[in-house]
Amino acid sequence: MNVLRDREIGDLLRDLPVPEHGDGFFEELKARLRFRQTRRPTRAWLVPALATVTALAVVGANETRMVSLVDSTRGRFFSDTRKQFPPVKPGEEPAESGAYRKRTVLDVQLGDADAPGVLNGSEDRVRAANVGVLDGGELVVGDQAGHRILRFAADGDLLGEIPTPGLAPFQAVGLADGALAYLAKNGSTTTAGIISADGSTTPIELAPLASKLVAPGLALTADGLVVHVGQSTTLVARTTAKGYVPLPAGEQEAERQRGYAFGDAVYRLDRSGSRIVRRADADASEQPLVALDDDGVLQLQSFLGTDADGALYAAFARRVDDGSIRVAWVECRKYDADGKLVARFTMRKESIESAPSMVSAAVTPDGRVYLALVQDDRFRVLCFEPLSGK
Amino acid sequence: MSRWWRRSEGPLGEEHAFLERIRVYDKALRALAFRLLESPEAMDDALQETYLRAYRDRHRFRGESEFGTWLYRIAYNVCIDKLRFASRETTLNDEAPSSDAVLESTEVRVDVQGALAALPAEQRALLLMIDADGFTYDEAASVLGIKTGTVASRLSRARQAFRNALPQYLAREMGE
Repeated sequence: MNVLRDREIGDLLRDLPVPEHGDGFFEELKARLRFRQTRRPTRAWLVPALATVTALAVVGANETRMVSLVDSTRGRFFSDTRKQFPPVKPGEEPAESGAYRKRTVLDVQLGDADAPGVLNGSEDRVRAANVGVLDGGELVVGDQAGHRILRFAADGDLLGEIPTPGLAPFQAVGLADGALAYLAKNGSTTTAGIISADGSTTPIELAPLASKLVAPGLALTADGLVVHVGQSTTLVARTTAKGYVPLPAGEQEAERQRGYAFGDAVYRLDRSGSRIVRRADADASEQPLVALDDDGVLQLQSFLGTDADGALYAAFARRVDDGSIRVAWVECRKYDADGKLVARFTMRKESIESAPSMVSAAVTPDGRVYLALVQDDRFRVLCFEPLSGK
Repeated sequence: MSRWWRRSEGPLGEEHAFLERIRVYDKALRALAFRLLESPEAMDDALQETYLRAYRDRHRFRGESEFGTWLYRIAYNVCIDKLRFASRETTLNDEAPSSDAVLESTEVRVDVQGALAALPAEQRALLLMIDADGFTYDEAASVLGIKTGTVASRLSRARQAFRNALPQYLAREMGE
């Protein structure tokens, strides 16, 4: 019997073809590197070992960040190397964070049952993902495996469900008059529609590439149009029940990253570039609006949203993982239309293994922020309300 | 065993030097990212992020490992992050992997690619690093964040799983 030898495994693997990069890969990388070079250095607290004293001196300008880190991890001030930094311990999360009050509005079990209030999925494979907010604070959650959209009252009580036979809804967005728009999978294609308050459904024609998008998104413009965005494409389209209007993106600004919002303009979270970019109209190029700091690597689970005043909200999942320090957390920031930081709140830092995963975020017209998190096989939605108006 | 990814380690620094340096390792990283993510587009996304992270953290690279190993580790972590999120991302990407587009249509290559794709990500990475690229156990352990002693047992399991997943190849070798 011939057995594949270890050496032959290597030969077989080396013989496999390796694809080249797509066009403009290194040009894009170069542009992003240049953008980074213009930003101030941060995270001096990570300067290791022999540079401890130097780091303390350098850290002066970043004192707030450093103190925040130490406090949030219940750790001591590290005095030697990053390897001595203590492990993260869970702690109580403050009920209020900055100018916001936090409350849990939904907390349901993930599982495989179709029982009321149980979403189909698990922590490792979340099928109930995006949360939408309707008028009055009602929540709608797409239950993909259950082929339904669940509707919850503002206090978390299950109100009912909307069956979507044959469809796996993964995003729902509240519209006026109790209607909602949804994106769903139908086999290998993406479909969309509007479900009115009386239960009737109107299909939405998506732009041609939508069926092949990796992570299409759905949001509303100020004028009530539905917009969807594709990842790894240059397609942004405004869509109505009557058809779509493509909005071409700039050649070098492919919509690679998840995260988008729509007010008077289209915003995009450029995760690799650690910035938020804005395009005022279809023909304009994208312009950097906000340069984000390097306090933790931005994760794919990051979202943007806007309120009725045009303020921009960015919810980030962030992570520091250098082998010694391994923490993750979620934070949210509010910017005005000029990109000026107005408010922010940060959730507790936890070890990467136990930290919650943010699977969705939604912003209401009056400025409430909803974060959908999955942790310990539970699906939770937190609402952050402004303490004194907006 | 080929050690082609090992080159003299020049000083890290500005954009141009950094780009020149990562090009040395780009092919190996493309292979890793593509084998893990099974899509040229996802590969490009992952490597954009890998290089940006490496550039951002270049001052943290203290020469305790080979620069290529350090880059490999970043790329592996980025790919694992993407795989983890892809599993959370539901069934959006449940179409057939687009790897066929870049594979030649010979049976063996498809078999090998398929067999490799059937393995968990860590096993794929182990086979690529140690059997294909000639990493030492220490280097592979550094990339994967596991103990060196664990590498041998996991590699053994990976090889066996690969053999088991390659029925056509074995059948041909056995003259069936």
